[in-house]
Amino acid sequence: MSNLSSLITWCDFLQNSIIGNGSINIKVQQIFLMNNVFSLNSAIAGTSLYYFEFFNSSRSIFIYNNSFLNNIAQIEGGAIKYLMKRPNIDKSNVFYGNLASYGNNIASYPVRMTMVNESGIDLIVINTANITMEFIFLDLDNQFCSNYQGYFVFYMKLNLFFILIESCS
Amino acid sequence: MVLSESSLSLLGNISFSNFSLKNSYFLYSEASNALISSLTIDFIGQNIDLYGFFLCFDDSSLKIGEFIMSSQPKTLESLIKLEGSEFFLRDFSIFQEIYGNFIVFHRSKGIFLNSVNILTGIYIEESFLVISQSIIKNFLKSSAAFVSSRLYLLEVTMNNCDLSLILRDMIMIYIENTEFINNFDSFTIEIDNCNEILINNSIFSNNNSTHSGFLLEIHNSRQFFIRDSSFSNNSGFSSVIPY
Repeated sequence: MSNLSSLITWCDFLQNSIIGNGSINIKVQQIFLMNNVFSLNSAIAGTSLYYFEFFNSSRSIFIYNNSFLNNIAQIEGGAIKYLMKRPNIDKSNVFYGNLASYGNNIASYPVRMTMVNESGIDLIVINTANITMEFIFLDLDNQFCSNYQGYFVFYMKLNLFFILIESCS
Repeated sequence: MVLSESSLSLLGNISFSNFSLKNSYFLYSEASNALISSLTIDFIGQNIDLYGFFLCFDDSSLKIGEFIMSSQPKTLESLIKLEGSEFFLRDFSIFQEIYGNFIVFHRSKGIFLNSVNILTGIYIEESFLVISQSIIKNFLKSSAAFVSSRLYLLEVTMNNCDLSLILRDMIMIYIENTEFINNFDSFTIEIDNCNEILINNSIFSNNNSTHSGFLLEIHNSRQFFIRDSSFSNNSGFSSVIPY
């Protein structure tokens, strides 16, 4: 696969009923989506664009000056759904009237798990994007419970692995 | 009829009916040029028993001005087989499905189909194909495979087809001012491992490709451009799948 760019431009994607995901479902080396209109499409996820690329992939997508209007996703990503590597979505794009249970315009995947207290203050923050976790356990005397850390890291990594597998499938 | 290093010009009308052909060719041409201004084939009759190829051209040039085929036997392996030849066909109509491939092209230098009214069961390898100003419709459960070729669809209308266009290892695909409308079921355009794809000013509308999957599936291709085109009111899986 070469580094040549592909292009979808000045196209209309209107009122398509998509059984799966995305009017456009992309996996190419480098692609530009420019000046397109996506309107009144319906899909399960990512009515306009469904994009799944691993973090370390050299592939990339650039999205400029498109209009995403009144698209409806049954589950997530009224306009765009992506997994892992984030698309380059320029501010020149217009999102209006898109609907989904999660992510009316853009849906991705959980990158942070936060346990909050009653006041909404973060107690535990887990970054799932690169599977690193930062947390401490403190006892009632505000002492660091170092002997519990290893067990919890293993338990959370295992569960996060299954969460990621589930969201990617 | 065998031509070898010759030139054949048939300027009048030729009509066939009620004849038998087994494991052979009606017309075989090698390193020759044939010009047929008008060819009419009517296979309706008592003695239809055809196997093999009707026309076979090897390193030749075949130009058919008008080709009318009102009916044809389903036993025919292929109507036309071209090997390393140049082929011009215009004003062609076919109204039934045939058993094998309608046309087999291999290493053909130039294939120009103008004003043809059907495209079915075509297998093309290492060839250069131009279809222009044509209407392709009412194809049921057929497929056309193109390998290592150049395909140009110019001002073509394809509608009411249950057709799989499989474009594999292509050098160039150029689709311009072409409409894919009201196609259904297994209709899909699958592009695999192509060097360059350009879709320009074309319409994909009211297609229902729920059975086969995708309306336009592009994968492993080096570079593609889709410009000034419309994808509307289609149902099925994703409209465009480049990966």
